[in-house]
Amino acid sequence: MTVQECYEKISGDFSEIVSRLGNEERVIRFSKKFFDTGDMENLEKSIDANDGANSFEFAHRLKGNSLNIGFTHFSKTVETLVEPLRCREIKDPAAINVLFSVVKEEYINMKEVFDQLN
Amino acid sequence: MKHRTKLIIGKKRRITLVCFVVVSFAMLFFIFIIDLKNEYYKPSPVVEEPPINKFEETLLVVADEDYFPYSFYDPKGRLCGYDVELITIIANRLEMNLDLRLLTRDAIFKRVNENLADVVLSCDCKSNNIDEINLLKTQAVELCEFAAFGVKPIHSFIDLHGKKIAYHNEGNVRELLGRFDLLDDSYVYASNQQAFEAVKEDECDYVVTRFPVGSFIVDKNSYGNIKPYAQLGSSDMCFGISPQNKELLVKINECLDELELDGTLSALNKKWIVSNRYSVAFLEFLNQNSWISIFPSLILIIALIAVLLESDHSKMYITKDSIITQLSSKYDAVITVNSKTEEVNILKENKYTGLFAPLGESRYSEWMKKSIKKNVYENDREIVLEEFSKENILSNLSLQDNGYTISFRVNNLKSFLYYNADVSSFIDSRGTLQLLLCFINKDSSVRQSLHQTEELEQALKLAQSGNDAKNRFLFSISHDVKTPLNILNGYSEIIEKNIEDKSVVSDAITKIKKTVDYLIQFMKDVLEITKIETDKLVLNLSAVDFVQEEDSLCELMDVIFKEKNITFEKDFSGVTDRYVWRDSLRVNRILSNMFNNAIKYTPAGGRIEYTITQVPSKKEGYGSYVFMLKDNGCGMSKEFLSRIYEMFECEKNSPLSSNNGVGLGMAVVKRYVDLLKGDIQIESELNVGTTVRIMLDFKLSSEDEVTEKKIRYENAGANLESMSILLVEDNECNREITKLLLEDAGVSVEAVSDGREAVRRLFEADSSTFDAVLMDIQMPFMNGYTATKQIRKFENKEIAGIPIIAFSANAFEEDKLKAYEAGMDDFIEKPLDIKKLINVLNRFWKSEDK
Repeated sequence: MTVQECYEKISGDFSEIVSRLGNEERVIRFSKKFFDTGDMENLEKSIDANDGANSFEFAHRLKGNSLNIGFTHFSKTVETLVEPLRCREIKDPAAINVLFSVVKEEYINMKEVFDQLN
Repeated sequence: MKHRTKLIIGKKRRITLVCFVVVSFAMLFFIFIIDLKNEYYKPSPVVEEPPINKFEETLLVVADEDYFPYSFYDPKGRLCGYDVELITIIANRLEMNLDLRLLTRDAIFKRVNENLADVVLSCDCKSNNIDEINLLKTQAVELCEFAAFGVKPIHSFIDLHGKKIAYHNEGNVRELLGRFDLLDDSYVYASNQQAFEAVKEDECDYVVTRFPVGSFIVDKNSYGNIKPYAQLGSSDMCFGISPQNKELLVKINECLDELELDGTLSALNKKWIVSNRYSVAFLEFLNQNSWISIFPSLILIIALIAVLLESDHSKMYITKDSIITQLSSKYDAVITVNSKTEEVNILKENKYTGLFAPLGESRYSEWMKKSIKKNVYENDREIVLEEFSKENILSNLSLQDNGYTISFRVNNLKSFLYYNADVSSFIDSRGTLQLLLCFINKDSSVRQSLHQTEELEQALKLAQSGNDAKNRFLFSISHDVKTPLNILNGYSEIIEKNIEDKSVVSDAITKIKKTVDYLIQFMKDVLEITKIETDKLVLNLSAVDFVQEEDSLCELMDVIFKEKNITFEKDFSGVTDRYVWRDSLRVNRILSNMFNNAIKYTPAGGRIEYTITQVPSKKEGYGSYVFMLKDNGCGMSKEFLSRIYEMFECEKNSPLSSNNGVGLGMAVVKRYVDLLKGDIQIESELNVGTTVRIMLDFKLSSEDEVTEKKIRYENAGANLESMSILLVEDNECNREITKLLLEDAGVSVEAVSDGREAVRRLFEADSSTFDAVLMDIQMPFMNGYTATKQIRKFENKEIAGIPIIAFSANAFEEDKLKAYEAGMDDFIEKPLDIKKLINVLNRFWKSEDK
């Protein structure tokens, strides 16, 4: 699967990221790097620990990274989690867990897609 | 028009009655206190305990039970009084037990003769009886008066003439009666007791004896109807001492001297003899004379009834004089009306206006008709005439006992005055019901009240209009959001149905993206305008070469002009002072919006002109600048021009109406122009074009001030090679991408991962190490705002003034303002667009140093 196909599969903006980074090689390099940051794992741990401050930090970082790498759909999904965490507190754990499950599911799907990258 | 009001006369009477009750009680209390002071109602005196079995020797004391003037039985049946206490004190001083016995006169003689009595009490210093048994006499211990006791009152001893007088031949009574020539009608009895019994049995009319002796007998025998009346003469009393005991006489006399010297005799006198008879406690007195308590009870009941009657009796008897006195000071005019004859009596006129003056009419109805016609404001006359009719007043007074108020207006030179008439009634001294009308000018208070009401109504209207504006705002927002949401929903369905058709899906996604962009812009504008309207924004002024800034703005726009094939011309030659202090963020926001509109509504092949001219400012040290943007686009209708600055307003007649924005751009422009205390004028004609003029005043600066800030403007597109940037970004991925992109542009980049590291790195660097800082906002340990503030405080002014560009995904106006407030110079949004970044960096590029 080509990188462009991967982006299409995950509703990313391939043309924009290629234009911005200059070439496909960089897109591949940084898209792979996106899944190696460990931010998703840290986010999950923070939410499990009811740690609002760190949950926000990692969710915010995931959003920034996904936006920077052109994962536009995912960045909007993560945004739904970032906003309720902006107060650095987990006021409604049940709602945060639901939002996180959506983020995590999409993240896993994206990772599966990029695992098939040639 | 009517108000209940209280009759002033009723109030006064009520107060009088209350005062009467209070004064009555005060008098009773006063009498009680005075009597206490006079020791009339003093408590029963405490008697010193007589010495019994206390010493070795005993003083044998006897007293005539019939003649014991200064002692009596207390309510408990104990013998007490002046003589008893005096001999008790003496016995104590002589250190002798006291043996006191009341005996008959014969028994006393026997005891004295047998040497069984040392002291005989209550002897008359001149008594022959004492001489009979040769008693030794001590010095006088007390003066004792004589009185006549009987049932019927007499005023003096003269009144005793012709009356039967009983007496016991002791002391000087006989001598006394002889002196008043009363012996002929006098009868001698064996004892005072027998003399009193003679009076009791009507054998005699009066008993003459020593006052305390008689009182003692009256008390002892409860002869309540026999009272002491006229008093006359007196003689000294003393103690009689057994003739064998001269030594005792000396001792008692010494003792009496001491008691006189130390004031004991005087104290005993005050203690026992003042009342002579009624030395009993007040409560005991009341207990014995319970009928006395009827008086205060009666006063209370009478006062209570009077108050109750008064409160239920509003029509009171008052005099004409009292009415005038009571009411003249308060009212401008006062009249009374006889309810039967309708005779009008004007007690006080309004001397200033002539209002309610005599009009040659004595009948109320005619007089009032004339008075109203002459004085009352025309619009009120009909209703006031009805209100003041006698029948109407009587009817209202029957419902409102305390009176009521009629409000009306009277004429004056300019318009009218507000007046009140307090209406009440009373019964005069002849028993006739009189109507009382009291007129008072209430103009100032009524007008003040009306003014307050008006203000409240205006405030209410304002609040309602604010509420209406909020409702319109919410309605517009919901409308402007609902439409794109429907579009999104529609394209989502299209994608679902045509998921296999790549071209349809691609087209739908493109349209969804445009719709989302619209929504984002819409929300940004809404938030921005809300911020402007709800917060007191502070201008963020900096010294700039504003011609350079305008050139940069035009360079940015130039790309779009070329894309749309629009001819663009600029002319800044009219600017003489290019260095000014201004809030560049907000000025650029105004101009950007104006450019966007001009570009949007000018078709391909069109023309846009941008000129800036400087005119003299009214304020010294300021320059006035006119920014004019002229296009030959589709123009606007006059109808739209009148509401162009209102929110969510778009030109519906525009041939490009499908391309209209959200209708907030000009609302934002107007509010920013107002914030900068400027002015905006728009001329437009449909299908001809639009000319916008924005007038702003800027405080003049100088090239030196601008240079001090190390901000230099270069033409866009300058070479960034060899420029050095400190990149502050905590996110490794972002950091790497940004670094890469900057390096691609020829910029030398050094990256750190948070604000704390950035501060440390700049502190260590020299002024030529970095040309600018690209600073993330949201970072661990120290965020971009704090780091910027710390950098701005460096002593090294060159580094402290280094350009710092905020770099954040939070790109709302609020975030930008926060960045500027922290001291940042510019703001770019994530994800990084290298072209935008290069444009921004170009502004801060110090070409001379490189």
